[in-house]
Amino acid sequence: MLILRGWIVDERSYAIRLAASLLGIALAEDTDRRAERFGPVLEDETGERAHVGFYDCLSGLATLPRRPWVWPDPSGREMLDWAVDSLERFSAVRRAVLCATRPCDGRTPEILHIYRSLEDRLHDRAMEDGLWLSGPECGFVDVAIFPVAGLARDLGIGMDLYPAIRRFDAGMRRQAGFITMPGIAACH
Amino acid sequence: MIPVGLSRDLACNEIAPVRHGDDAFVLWRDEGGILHAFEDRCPHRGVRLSLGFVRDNRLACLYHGWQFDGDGACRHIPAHPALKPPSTIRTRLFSVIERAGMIWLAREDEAPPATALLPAETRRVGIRSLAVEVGIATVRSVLSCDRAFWLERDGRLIAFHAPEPAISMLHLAIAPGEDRKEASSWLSHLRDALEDHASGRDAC
Ligand code: FES
Repeated sequence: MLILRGWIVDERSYAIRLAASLLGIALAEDTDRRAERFGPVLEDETGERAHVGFYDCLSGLATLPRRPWVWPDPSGREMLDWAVDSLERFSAVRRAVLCATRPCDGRTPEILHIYRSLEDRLHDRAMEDGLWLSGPECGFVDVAIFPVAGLARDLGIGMDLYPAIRRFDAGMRRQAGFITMPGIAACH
Repeated sequence: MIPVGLSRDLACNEIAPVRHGDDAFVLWRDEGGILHAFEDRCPHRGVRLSLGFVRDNRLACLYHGWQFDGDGACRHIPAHPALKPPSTIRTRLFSVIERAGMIWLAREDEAPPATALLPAETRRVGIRSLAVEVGIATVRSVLSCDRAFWLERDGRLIAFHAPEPAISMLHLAIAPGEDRKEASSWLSHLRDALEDHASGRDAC
């Protein structure tokens, strides 16, 4: 069984757990607070192979045999790179906001740009009657960007401004195998 | 009445938050497709009802699970399942209607809702609701709109409301035969033009 060394409130650790759950991959979990800064680590049971950091962990899941999600080809890689980069940036700002000793506005221009970009991309998919960024079905890009949608409230981002993100968020919560983390409740 | 979103953006059993000026509302659509609008505040401990979910055709609060029916009355308190909640426990209710592909909400100072001031009841397809980083006065001035919250141009219905002082929400609905992608891209250009105008770059 694969072992995920992650941190419960880390978005990237959650995204890996979510991907594994949606793909039906069993994970043993080990709490490691270093994941809060550096992202999760995914190891095989022998401890000989480790994927370090969010992108590597995600690609590690893609190498497992007989999985329905395909790793994006070069033409879809821009979207995945954007999703991973956006999640990393979101994670850094969210960590700063949640750890701040005084009220701190998470709605920085960089963060607002991420939400606008996500909304635009999801709207473009909706114009083609699609919900997911990965293609006709949910996939790696969607899981990578989902915490940005699900945890928007932590940065004071109102979902009334982003109807396409709200639809995407609701769609992900309806997926069989959907799991929660602190800040992303189950009952939607 | 204020246009607060597109009908197509709220499916059955879904919830959407709405802000306009200093007011916060929650919209939800029941399993029969009927739309409801409440104050976005639970009468129990004040949590936003828009964080909740629809269960058993009622809007349930995320915090302690109190459930409110379409009339705003509390029907179920999970901590006291045998209790019939008193009729005094209820949310504040607002009138809401759907017309021309959009959702229109009446603030309480507008009773009965002034439907005569809405666009004609023609069939339209909602294309997009889009946040723009300009105040509503700029939207009105750039679009030369003398109505409160909407205008028709070239067969398109463009409506807007003000979730924040410096952010407006534009809503676009078109005639059924019109090209959706072209209309959507027109709205994106309008966003750019409005923001350029507000920042002094003036592309309008
Ligand atoms: S705050 Fe809503 S049920 Fe308690």
